[in-house]
This record gives sequence, C-alpha cells and structure tokens, in this order.
Amino acid sequence: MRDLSQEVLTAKDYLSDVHPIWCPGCGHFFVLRALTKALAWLKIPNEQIGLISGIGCSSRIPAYIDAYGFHGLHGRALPLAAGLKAARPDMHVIVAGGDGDGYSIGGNHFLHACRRNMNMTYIVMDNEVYGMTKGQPSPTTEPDWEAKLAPHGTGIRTFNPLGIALASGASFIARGFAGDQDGLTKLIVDAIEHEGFSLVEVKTPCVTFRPEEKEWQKTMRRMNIEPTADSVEAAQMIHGSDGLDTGIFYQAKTPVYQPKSTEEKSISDFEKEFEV
Amino acid sequence: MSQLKENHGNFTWVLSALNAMIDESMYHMQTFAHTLKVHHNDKAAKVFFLACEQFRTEQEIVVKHAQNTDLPMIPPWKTPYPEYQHPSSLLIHADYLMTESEAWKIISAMIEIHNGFYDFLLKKNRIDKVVSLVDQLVKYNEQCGTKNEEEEIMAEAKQSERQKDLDLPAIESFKSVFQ
Repeated sequence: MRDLSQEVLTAKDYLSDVHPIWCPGCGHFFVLRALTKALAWLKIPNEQIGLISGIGCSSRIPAYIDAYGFHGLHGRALPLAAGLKAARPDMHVIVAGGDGDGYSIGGNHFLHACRRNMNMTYIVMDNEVYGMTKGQPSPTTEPDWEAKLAPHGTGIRTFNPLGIALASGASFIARGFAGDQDGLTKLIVDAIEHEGFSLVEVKTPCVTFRPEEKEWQKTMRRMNIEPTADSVEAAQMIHGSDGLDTGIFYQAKTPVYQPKSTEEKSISDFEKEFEV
Repeated sequence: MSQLKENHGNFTWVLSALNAMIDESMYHMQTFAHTLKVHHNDKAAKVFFLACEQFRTEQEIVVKHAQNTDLPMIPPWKTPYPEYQHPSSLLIHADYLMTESEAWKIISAMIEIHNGFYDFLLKKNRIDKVVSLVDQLVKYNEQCGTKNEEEEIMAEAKQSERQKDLDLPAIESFKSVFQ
C-alpha cells in the first residue's frame, strides 16, 4: 500500500476523467464532491478503494471516481461489496446507490448487510423517486405524492431506512443532506473511519422529477443530531424525526463480521474438500 | 457541527481558506458547465465556463501570495466564518432549460458569497498582508461584477427579442387544443 501520509491530496486526485452528466441542479453532484473530499482528507490510496454500485442515476458514481469500481446489477451492490470485503479485507469498500436500488429491489440485501455488520460504508442517495426510469414512486416516496406515473399516489406508508438499519444491526446510522456540503463531508469521513457497517442516507433532491425537493435547502436541519451508542435512544430519535434532521443517529462498537480465513485457495483445494 | 476556525489572523490559514472557497466555486462551475453542455444548453454552459475562467484568475491572485509557502490543511467540513454559505448551495437552482441571464444571476450570487468572506476578513483583522490581498480580490470581483452585469443585461435583451419573435397567441391557442 502506498504511504500517502506526507502527501497533499485534494478532491481532484480522486476524480476520474469522466465528467458527471446528472441533470443540472441534481443533488448527486454534491455527494460526489463530498465523497472525493472525504477520501482526500483520509488520504486513502486510490487502489485501496472499491466502489460498488447498483443501477440508477446515483449508481453512476463509480465511473466518476478514480478507484476500483463495479457498476453492478440492480439492487445487488451490497452482496457484491460483501464478496469484495470478504476476499480483500484490506480494502476500503464503499457502496453507493439510490433509494429504489437499495430499499426496494435490494431491500433484502440491505437487511442482511446491516445484520452482518461488515466493515464497509453504504451511501444511499435518497431522492424519493426513481429518476432514471422517469419518475415512479420509490419506497421512500410519500403515499400522497401524485405524478404522471402515480396519478393517485401510492397510498403506501414510507420505508424508514434508518429505523430498519437500527433494527437489523447496523452499527453506524446517519442522515445527511446533499445541500450541506460541509456536514455531509464530515459524515462520510466518520462513516469510512467507523469499524463496521456504516449507513449514510443522503437526502439529495431530484430537480427534474421532484422539483419541490429544492425546498429541502430551506427545511433540512443541518447536523442537529448528536450521536448516541444507546439503541433505545437512537430509536426514539429516528422515529421521532420528521425526516429533516441530519447527523449521526447511532454509532456503536458491535462485533464486525469477518470470514474466519482469508487464506487463498485454488480450485483443486476446493475440489479436494468435496472428494468422497 | 461544521465548526468555525478562529484563525483569521494567520495569513497562511487565510490563504488556505480562500483557496478552498474559490476552488469549490470553480469545481462546481466547471462540472455544471459540462453537464449543461451535455444536456444541449450551450448558452448557459458557455456562461458557466466563462465564470470558471474568472474564478481561476481570482485563485491565481491567492496562489501568487502563497508563493512557496505550504498552506495548512483545513478539514473540509470546517466553515471559514459563521454566516458562510457554501458556493455549491446556489447550484440547486440550475436546470436544463435555464437561460443565459439566469446563469449570470447564479454567477453574481456566487461572487457575492466570495465578497461576504472578503468583507468578513476586512472587518476581522488589520494585518497588512491580509488587507492588501483581500483588497486586490475585492477590486477584481468588482471588475468581474460590472462586466457580468453588462453581459446579463445583454442576455436579457436577447431573450426578450426572442420572445417577441414568438407568436404567443398562436402558442396559447395550440396549448388550449390539448387542454
């Protein structure tokens, strides 16, 4: 591993030469910036980063970062990341995706990734809509949101990702806002430094299909939550929140899953194990 | 949680904070210019690219003062002063169809954010080196502001000319057919 401790690194050192092409005004631009600033601050060597994503607007992010990346299947970013972390525990595994990818199609993987508590960071860019497929409601969309593709609203209560993560065993649970660049950068730094599964749910406006989310700029509360290691207290904060609070809701030291052996095996070694 | 750094009397800290602020503006301008271009809004993209050049010159003024000094690393989540508004916060108002004059308005607001920090620094300390640097930056921004205002007026004039060319009653009647 390169020793970068004496080098001056900037966010630019983590950007690839591909320019992001999200819609002008999209909150994902600010998540990308916060992530690259966090990586530069932590001086993580590019070759030690594995950035895994699923499908959706936000899942384009590995292309924009100069590190190992894998743009995987819809909803399957977390199992891919778990495989990478199991095989290469020395790597910093960061998973990125959207609310549809992570909480709907990938919902089951989300539960078990929290339960496993492997040392990785999951950044969910939650814009409460499926943007890439032109504006269908996602699990975090309000039940009464009406649009061309949801003419009467869904009538279904919203998914509470932070509550689910806490109940399932994640050891770091935070919510950030794409419009709070400083706060979000700090959250990502803390999440990457945390030992265990860290969830950073980022409210990021979809200015094209949910232009009303621009209001978040005024309504989101900037880093008003203080971290606790008490799960009951965290549950009260999470369920008592109207979704506009940001900060670390829960951070605790809990057992981190690691495969018992990271020893490399050849195919013939495996075959021997199955010999009768 | 974004914490204030009380280092406004430290010249290298001031240089580093200024450099970081301008760098943020430049990065976001450039990124948004590219995405506007990709989304076929060449006019707004051009404005953002021009602003990027202005910010680059502004940053060069700061870098020139730094010469060979190693600038301190300021944690990226620390805000330079209490009322600081991050330059990126303005870009949520960008959109596919934004006009040139709307683009110029965002640039002006971003310059105002820079000026806010310069004003704060001038009020906060009397260190000659800081005052002289900030004076240069303020003067440069004044020049840019005047130039940009002219560009914005011209863009607005062009826009209203274009609207005159449109047959608005015909458009309205066309819309009513579909309503």
